[in-house]
Amino acid sequence: MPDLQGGLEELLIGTVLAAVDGSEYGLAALQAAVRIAALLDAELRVLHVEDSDLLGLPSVPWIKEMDPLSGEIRQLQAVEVERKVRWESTRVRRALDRVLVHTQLRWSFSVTRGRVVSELLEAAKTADLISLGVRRHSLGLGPGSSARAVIEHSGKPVMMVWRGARMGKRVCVLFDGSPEALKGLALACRLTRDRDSELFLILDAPGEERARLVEAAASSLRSAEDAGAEISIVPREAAWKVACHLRRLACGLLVIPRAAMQRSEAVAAGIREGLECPLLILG
Amino acid sequence: MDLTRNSGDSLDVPRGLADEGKLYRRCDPEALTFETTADLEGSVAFAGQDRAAEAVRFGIGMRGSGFNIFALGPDDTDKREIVRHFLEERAGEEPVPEDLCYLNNFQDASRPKAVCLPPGTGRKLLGMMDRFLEELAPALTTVFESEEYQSRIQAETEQTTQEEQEAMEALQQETQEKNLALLRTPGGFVFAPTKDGEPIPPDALAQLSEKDRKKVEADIEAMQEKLKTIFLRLPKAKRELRERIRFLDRDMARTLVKDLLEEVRDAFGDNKDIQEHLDSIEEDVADNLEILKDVGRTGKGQEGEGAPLAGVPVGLGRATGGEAHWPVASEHPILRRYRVNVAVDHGESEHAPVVYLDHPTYQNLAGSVEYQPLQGALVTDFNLIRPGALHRANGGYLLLDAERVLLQPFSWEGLKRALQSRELRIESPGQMMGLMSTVTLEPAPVALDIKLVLLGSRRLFYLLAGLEPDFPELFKVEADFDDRMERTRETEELFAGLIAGAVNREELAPFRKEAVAKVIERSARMAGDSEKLSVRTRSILDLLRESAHWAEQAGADTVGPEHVQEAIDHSIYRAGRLRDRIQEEIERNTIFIDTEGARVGQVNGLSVLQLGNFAFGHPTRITARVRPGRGEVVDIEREVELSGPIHSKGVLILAGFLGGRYARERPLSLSASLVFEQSYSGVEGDSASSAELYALLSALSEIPLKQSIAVTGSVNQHGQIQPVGGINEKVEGFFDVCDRRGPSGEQGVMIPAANVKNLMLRDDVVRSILDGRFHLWPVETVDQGMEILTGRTMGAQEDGGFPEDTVNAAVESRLLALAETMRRFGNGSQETQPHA
Repeated sequence: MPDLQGGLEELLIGTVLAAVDGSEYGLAALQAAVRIAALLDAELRVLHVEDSDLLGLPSVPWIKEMDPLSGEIRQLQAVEVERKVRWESTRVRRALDRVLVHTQLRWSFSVTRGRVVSELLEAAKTADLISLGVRRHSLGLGPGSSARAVIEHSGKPVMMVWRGARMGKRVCVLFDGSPEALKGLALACRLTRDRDSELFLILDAPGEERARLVEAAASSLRSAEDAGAEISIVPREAAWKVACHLRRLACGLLVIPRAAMQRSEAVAAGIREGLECPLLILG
Repeated sequence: MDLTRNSGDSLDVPRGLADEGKLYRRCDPEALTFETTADLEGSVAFAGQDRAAEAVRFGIGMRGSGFNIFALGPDDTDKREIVRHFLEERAGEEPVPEDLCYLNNFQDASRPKAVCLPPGTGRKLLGMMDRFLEELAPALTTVFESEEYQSRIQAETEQTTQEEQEAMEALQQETQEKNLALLRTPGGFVFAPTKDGEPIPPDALAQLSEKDRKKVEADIEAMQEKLKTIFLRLPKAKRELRERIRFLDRDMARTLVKDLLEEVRDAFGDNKDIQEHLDSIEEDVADNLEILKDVGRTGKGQEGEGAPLAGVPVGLGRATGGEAHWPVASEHPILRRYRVNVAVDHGESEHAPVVYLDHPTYQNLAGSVEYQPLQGALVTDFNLIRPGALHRANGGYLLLDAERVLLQPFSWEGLKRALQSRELRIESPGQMMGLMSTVTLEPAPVALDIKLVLLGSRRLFYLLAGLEPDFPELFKVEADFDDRMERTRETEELFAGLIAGAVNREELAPFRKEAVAKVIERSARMAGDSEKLSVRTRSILDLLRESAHWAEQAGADTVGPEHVQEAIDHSIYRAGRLRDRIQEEIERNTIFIDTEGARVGQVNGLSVLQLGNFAFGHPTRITARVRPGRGEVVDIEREVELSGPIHSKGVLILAGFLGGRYARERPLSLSASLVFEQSYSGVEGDSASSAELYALLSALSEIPLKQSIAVTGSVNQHGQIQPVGGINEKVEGFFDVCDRRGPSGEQGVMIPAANVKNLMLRDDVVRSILDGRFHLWPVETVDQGMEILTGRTMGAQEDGGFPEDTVNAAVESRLLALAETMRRFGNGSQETQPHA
């Protein structure tokens, strides 16, 4: 098991990429990115991709748009699609001005036109952490295809932010003893150091492994300066219990290994549906 | 009468009244059966109020409708204490009435329910409901975060989610099989053809063959239909899920609340109102579950979540700005509705209530609904209902000052309405007047069973009886309090008990029996009658307090007669500024008063000035002049409207006397004018009519009157002297004038003989009279008075005329001369004769 100091070194985050569209959850992702960049003293890069596939669709007359509320099927108008895409860019720019007005961050903003996944993955190559806005109940399928592609293919920590989710001072780590969990613990230590913040561990393991996990976590925390955390034990099966616990703790950021998400979709859904804060996925 | 006279035509001044017992009736301390008031238990101050006490007892005992009591009489007779004594005596034997609680009406919050509970159980219910409120929100949170609940919800949700997911996965699968991708656009979704899993760029799509394009188009159309079906089914499935969860939540909440309220249900099992109220609470908790769960989790509510009370969404007690915090969970607006407002709590009572309300505003009397500001609006709920005195006294007795009730807007009308309907309704005066535009409450009425006692003056009682049509029906018992009582040996002892009671209640130093005797004598003086005692207990109480004060100043352990006298002297001195000014101006001859010699048509009358509680007498010069005329006596005071009707009546009587005695057979051919010299304000009363007659007879007879004698008393047409008021003050007023100038030994006051029983003169006046330095002449007729004032006999009528050298002869002779003058000037048409 790697030690904590090693985890910290692996997770040196110098650049935070905020992939932002004009939606509510996109703007929430921007705010969370600003905050985490400030805490880690990282550079913020804001990227807005104008989807070229989307812009080209009106030129294909037999491809029609369907309204999810009414079920109406209508023709895509090039002017209308262009106007909406432009408007999203404007919204992102204005939001950026608003959230950055009182910060000393190093930041940049770029708008590119191309295929969304390709552009995001390209931009992710030079970033250390990616902040993505996602729709919460996206047809019951979890994150959309773009977000899933970034999580699966970027190889970088991805912070998912829902509409209304705000990053708070209490950071919780779902700890399963994996290398990703240790990285998450190290990152959480850094986010809560020198602040009036608090760090909590939620142990996610079967009964017989919990004692070992507690020891591993305690050992790792001892090696970190000024680290101190409350340790909570939660059975991994009870996803709703994790959600309740997070709500009770007024969790401001949940750090979770990707493997833990993948182990059980029920755990993932329970966390997502009960979560009112950003979710940082590692691994 | 102790009058003596020398024989012969010319009279010496008679000796006058010189019996000390008649000048000042003392109370013999030796006759009192105690040494100090500490030896007595003391009694309640209803000595001498037998009639009123009987009426109050009757009124209390009568339970019929309208047998409320009006206690009338002077304000300082301590009516209130006497009535309260009787009421408390009776109330002590009567049962404690029920508690009154107001509860939320879940059907219509603007009409709170009123519930009566056995005494002391209101607070018990309050305590139980407060415990319920403390437990409710946390218990809900615990239940709804329990494993069992979450498992059930998860099962329900998963069923729906799984169905959705399966449908979507099938759609995705089919989409992929047909080489399509589902893409999100700013306004919805589109299906786009793919190659190797990636959307085909639009320019490549344009190059598809007609056949391929048509196939793709058909596939897209089919998939759109399937997606549409899923979209349309999703809301319904979610709605059904929500409904299932809602039913589950309600069931669990009902079970929990039933369990939490079990103790209350058991304790109030026989009370249908409470049982129904608890049923309503169970339903209401189920209806407001989401808010309550939130309260349980965070102890605070979310903006705008307060369910409406009285039609207004309330957040009473909410802090301004930011999130709302409720220091006490039960203060949360959603929980306030489950509380109990114990409006009347008889938990500590041992008998029926006796309530005295000294500030009977409508709200204090009938209760009120208070408001609290919330974001610029005034809001209220049943917790803000405040009871009035009628609520607190319900089942017992209520005392009110009638005048204060009448002075307060709406109070009298509200009181009448409550007594007539025998119901208590709380209404807002502002609402009645249309002055308030905010939402208010209309609490359920409460049955009223009360005995009301109004305290007021006699004048007010008779005004109400005459002018208020409902008054006789509502106040059938009249308790008339007297302001004085008979003075006998027995009543003096009774009065001593009253004094002892007051001394003990006020925790004053004990009064020695000599001091008590002095207070009793002072009471007789206050009554203005040596044979009566004043029961104006407030004035007596003031005298006791002041006497005790002077005793304390002197370092005495007990109060003696000297301290009582000191208190009397000081109170007179404090109030006597104007009296001293008048005396001073008389001494300086600014106000003309002769106290020596004799004058024609001039006499010293006596007036009394009442300033607050202090009265004093002083002499006033009265003069008369005559001339030929038609028999009228002109009262100059009346001519200039400075006299009252009683005074004018007295003057007109004089003409009757003159006509009856001197002009039976012929017209009275004189014109006389009478005036109170140097009087610049109104004159009322007929107590100077004898003095005016003496001045008139002197002016007619031209026989001078002695200025050393002052006169008081009214006169009738037959020349009888009638009693008047303020006799002691008048005698003392003239004595003080003479005393300042140096007594001549001839000065004194002529009083009606019927006033001798009223004498309770100052000690220095009594001593001067007994020493012969001042005199008091009681007279019964004008003739007796004229003889004292002139030193000449009046002369009895013989053979149609009066003996020569008598006053009557001189008057008759002058009247004849005036009649002759009138005749000569032709039926009195010319009035140019010189004045007499």
